[in-house]
Amino acid sequence: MTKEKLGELIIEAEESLYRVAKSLLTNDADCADAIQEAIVKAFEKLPQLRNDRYAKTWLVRILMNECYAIMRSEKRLTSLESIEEVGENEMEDYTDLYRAVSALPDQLRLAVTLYYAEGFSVKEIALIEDTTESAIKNRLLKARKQLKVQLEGGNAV
Amino acid sequence: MKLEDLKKESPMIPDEIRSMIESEVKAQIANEENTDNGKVIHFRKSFTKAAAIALVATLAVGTTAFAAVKYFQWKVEQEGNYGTVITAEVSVDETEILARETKETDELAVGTKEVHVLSMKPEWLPEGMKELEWDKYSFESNWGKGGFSLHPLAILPSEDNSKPILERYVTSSEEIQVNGHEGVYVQKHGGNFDKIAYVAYPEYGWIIKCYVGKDTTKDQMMKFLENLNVVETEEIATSFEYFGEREIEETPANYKYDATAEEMKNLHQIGDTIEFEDLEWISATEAKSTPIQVTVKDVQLYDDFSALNPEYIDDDLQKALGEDGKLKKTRFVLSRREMELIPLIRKSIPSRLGKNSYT
Repeated sequence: MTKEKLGELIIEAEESLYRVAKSLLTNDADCADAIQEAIVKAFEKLPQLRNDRYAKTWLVRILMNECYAIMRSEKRLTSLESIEEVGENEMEDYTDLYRAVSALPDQLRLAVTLYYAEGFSVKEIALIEDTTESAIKNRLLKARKQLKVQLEGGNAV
Repeated sequence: MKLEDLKKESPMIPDEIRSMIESEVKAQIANEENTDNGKVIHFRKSFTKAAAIALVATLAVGTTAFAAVKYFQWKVEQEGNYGTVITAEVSVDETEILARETKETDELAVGTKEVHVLSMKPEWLPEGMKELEWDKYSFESNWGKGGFSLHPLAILPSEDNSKPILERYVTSSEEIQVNGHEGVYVQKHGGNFDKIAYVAYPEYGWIIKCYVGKDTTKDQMMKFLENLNVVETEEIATSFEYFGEREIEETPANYKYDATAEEMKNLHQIGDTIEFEDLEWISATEAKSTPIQVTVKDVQLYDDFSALNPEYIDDDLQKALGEDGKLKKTRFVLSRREMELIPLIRKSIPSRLGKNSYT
């Protein structure tokens, strides 16, 4: 894949990249840092991409790792209260479904976002998260169960 | 309300992030050095976040963070038969506050308020080894496993905060010298990475931790480290891990000794009867649930999977097992399978004792 093609892919996928970053990180500044770092690394590692078919999966995986790196550093540097405060303020604008998904644990939230919002297959998500397909299936099942409890009537999803 | 609606109900990308992406992409494409010689120019941290994190980090480390340092040295102690406690000892001179900032002295950077990103470029690699990804190097014949993996750890900012690292499963350890830099080498038992080297670069405020695969010799490690070109870049590190940081989180003081009723709900005694659900997968996300009742009749410990009916060992678990029925001694597999093994064990054991009995 050429640098230009990678650039096109990133621009086409910018909404997806934001949604994936947002599913793991609390605020937009963190999302921006993670996406920016992922773009830099994607261009640097481009020669290692062996199959263009998996370019988006590869890109999302790089982004996910950047998000986790930020989450680790944020955990040490900022207080929980400040994170929750930012999160609560932003949450006021969101729909019930998005709020319920946001309340899921990290792994379940990411799996739900990749499967339902981004349309990745279970196999692709397993590749992105470096785990097994059955693990992803279990996460999706658990997420659906938790969402049913959280959302109105218990049968909304 | 459907989960399929999640995409349209997710927040739209803010304009400033969209334009950042577009300008970063343009900058990377325009950067001719990018793929020609592997060097990347970082057009980073245009966002306000970088400054915010740097400020928080400065506040978090306290006033002693501004002190310069008189010396740095390793302390290596044996703990039990297989443990090695490694401490990075830092001596701080409070009279030399802000010495580094004013550039009036060549004092060590340890304890100063900021550290710069390190560039770590190996000028020698063992034959057949290539760069796997960022700061990771792997033999092509054993791709993705073993080799070298470099992790810079910031030195804690004062002697008050100096925390030791406990290395477990250690068979031997020794202090080493790498181009005049003091280091500690630890040989461990088991795992894909059975050797670790810590090499101190106190003049930069960093310790480089190098994981070494079992496919790589100690001599290769020494040559690799001696030919590692370590340079301090202009970029201020805004996120990093401290030496000993993980140990701080794992100190016994943080262990829980009490459990709530909720946390104890899956702990049962002989004679207890428990309700479970047996899941049969219909599709990727749908499962049919059948309730089953389980009575604890006996408790036994196994260190292999030979007690289980092979019919209930799926392909994923099968790959994790050796011919002897034990989990392969592969840290990679174990860590990823850990959580999944629990339901698999629950599902498999009844077949040996009768459909509705668990051991």
